[in-house]
Amino acid sequence: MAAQVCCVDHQRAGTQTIGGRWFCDEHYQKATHMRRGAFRSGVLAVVGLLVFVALVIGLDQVLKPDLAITPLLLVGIVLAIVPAVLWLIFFYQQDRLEPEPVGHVARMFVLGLALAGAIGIPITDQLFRVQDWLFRDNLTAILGSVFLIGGVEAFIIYATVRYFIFDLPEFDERTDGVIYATAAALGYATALNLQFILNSGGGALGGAEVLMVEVALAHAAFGGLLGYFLGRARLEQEPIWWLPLGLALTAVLNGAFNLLRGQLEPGSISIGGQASALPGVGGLIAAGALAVVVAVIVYALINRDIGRSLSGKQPAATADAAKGDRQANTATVGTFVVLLIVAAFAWNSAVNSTTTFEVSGFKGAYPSYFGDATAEGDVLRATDTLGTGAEFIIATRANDSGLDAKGIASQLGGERSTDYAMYKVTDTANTTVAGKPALMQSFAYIDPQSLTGAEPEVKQGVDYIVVDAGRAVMITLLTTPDDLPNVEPLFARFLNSLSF
Amino acid sequence: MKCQIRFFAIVMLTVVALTASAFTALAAASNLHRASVNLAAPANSDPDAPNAACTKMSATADVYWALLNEDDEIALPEDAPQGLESYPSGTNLIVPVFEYDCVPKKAAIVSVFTLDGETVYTDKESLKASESEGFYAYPLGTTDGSPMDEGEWGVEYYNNKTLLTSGSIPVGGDEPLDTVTVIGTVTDAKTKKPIKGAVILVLVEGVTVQDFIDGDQQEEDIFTGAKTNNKGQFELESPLTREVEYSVIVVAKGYKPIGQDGLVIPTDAEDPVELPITMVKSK
Repeated sequence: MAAQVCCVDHQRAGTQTIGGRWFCDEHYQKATHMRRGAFRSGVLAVVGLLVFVALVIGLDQVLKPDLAITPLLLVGIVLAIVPAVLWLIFFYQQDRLEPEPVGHVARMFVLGLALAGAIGIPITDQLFRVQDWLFRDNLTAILGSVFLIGGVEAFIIYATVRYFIFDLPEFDERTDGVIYATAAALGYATALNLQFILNSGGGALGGAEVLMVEVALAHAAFGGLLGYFLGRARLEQEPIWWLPLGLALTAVLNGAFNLLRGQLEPGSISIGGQASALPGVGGLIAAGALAVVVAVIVYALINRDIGRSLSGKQPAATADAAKGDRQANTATVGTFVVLLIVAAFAWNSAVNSTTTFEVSGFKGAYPSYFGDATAEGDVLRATDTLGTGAEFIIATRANDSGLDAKGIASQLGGERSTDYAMYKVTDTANTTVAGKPALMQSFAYIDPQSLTGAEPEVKQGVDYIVVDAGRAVMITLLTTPDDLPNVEPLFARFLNSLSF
Repeated sequence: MKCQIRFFAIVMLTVVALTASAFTALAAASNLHRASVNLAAPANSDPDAPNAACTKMSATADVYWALLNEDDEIALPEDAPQGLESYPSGTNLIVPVFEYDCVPKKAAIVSVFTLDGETVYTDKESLKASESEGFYAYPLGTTDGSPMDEGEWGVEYYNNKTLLTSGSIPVGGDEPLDTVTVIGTVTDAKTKKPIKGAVILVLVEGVTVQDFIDGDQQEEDIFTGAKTNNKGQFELESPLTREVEYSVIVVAKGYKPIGQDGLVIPTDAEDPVELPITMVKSK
């Protein structure tokens, strides 16, 4: 008999069926109700936001406000929240005849923001450090954008709706899925925007607002799409792949948009002029278009679904609604795990793949995104040219006078003191490299002639000195203090791979 | 009668041809003249002494190319003590110099200048007899100070119809002086904030961004580079040559890298040329 309970409030007896689920009279009304206001408000919000952006750019250009960091941050934070607030205002204004409980939509927004800040952004930025490797090659960019950035965000939006509102009786219309998921997505977007403002420490307000509205519009579109899938899953008995499909589609759309934006605004190099004072709006226009297109498509789909519900041809309600929902949820979580596993593979191949070398009796492997900068006098010099600039160097020198590693170290010290300023050894220890006893020393100095030739740069590094068979082998890591913590594990792997 | 007509025709054609070539030569040379120069007097010169010892003049070194200083004396720039390798575009005076052992009686030097192999100017100048070594220069300039035609200029110095020495030098064109210092600022495309620590790499001519990435980022593929300071500013370590296609890579932490082929600094760009770069966040 469980199957005959209304699938919305799980209490009243079902009298009608839609898509294989029982509904009581009241919720049958709701489930077949088209909520045009939600879409009107969505489109209005898009237009309103574009006007708002133009206004901010205009004010920024005319007034050229010269704000100190703190007021700039405060204004930035306010501007970060504006897109979501604007959408909420439009939504409530359009929805006042059939109000959704105010608390629920606002709660979705706050939860989306909190989960993005607590889980979503830490996963992409701190755990996978996606910003460091996303654009290393095209395949990595696609996999990272879709499976990691898109996947994590889609799942956070899904989880916000699925675990905090899905089972409540207030989720009783098809359009509710779109509304709640959009609110959660705007929360996610707001978290991204706050992160952007805090990281960039303010900046040109016009340009910053372009970016933030672009982020908000794009994410609202992702949320809307996923919300459609959630809305149908709530009110109809859907196959088990339905929600996983929604999750995957949202991830793909998110990733595709990320890549498209990179194509539209690749950055620029211009000759003999000034960079344009106006911010690029290619991404913003694309995001606005995406939001409108998704709204129109979802509107059409819901309209069609309602029409079908009212046509009366319904499959018999057989399955237990709650049980079906649980299975669908398990499948969706599983899909997310699969997305994450693929993302981890992309991350691993971008970060951990190595180039092997065999030169002058030395064998080993260095990270494959390093370049070969071997110069005269080096056995090998691998450099992270397009990243940190860190160098892994193998060099040898004749040791006819039979110096020990300490003697070689002081030879090196003498040379470096001549070439650089403030050379200092900060730590020494005895260790082994490739099974041979070695002297490890950490050092730091100031390089007055860095790549620019303009500004001195503090360099920090580690030497491993091995004395064997009439020669000295020096394996050196050279980097900056900022990059040392990130580069040291790579260098340790490089050392482990060495044999000579 | 027939014979006379043919003779007349031949004479007239010859006259016309000669006149035409004279005019052409005049037209070509009309803008050129000998600039004034103070040639230092030979050290032991004694105009009254008989110069029996010197019977033949010969050059003791190859022609080298110089400049004139404010006092119209022959001068060589500090970075080219052996003589210039080329004159830049816009030069209005070239000074070929050669050294000789001695000057016999009634000596005259004929200077023949060529541009891209065509004779454009000749002149003859008498020299006082001298037993000592000295040097001779025929500074050739334009009458109105306008730039000399660009191309390969040559000179031949003759004495008594004997070639003493010769030399040539490029003026303008592809000479290495046509380079431009490149400065610029790297900023965030959206916020316009400067990006510090951005690395700008300019690849060797003919190497594309894709070549560089595919070729394991060889150091020898990098022509020059720079890193931005706290204000996002940079200056390329080496100047770039105008009208050459360069490939440029710009990378910065947290930003989408930029790779652009076919960057050309036009001939009319100012020196130093500004290269504003904007970057977009990678996520």
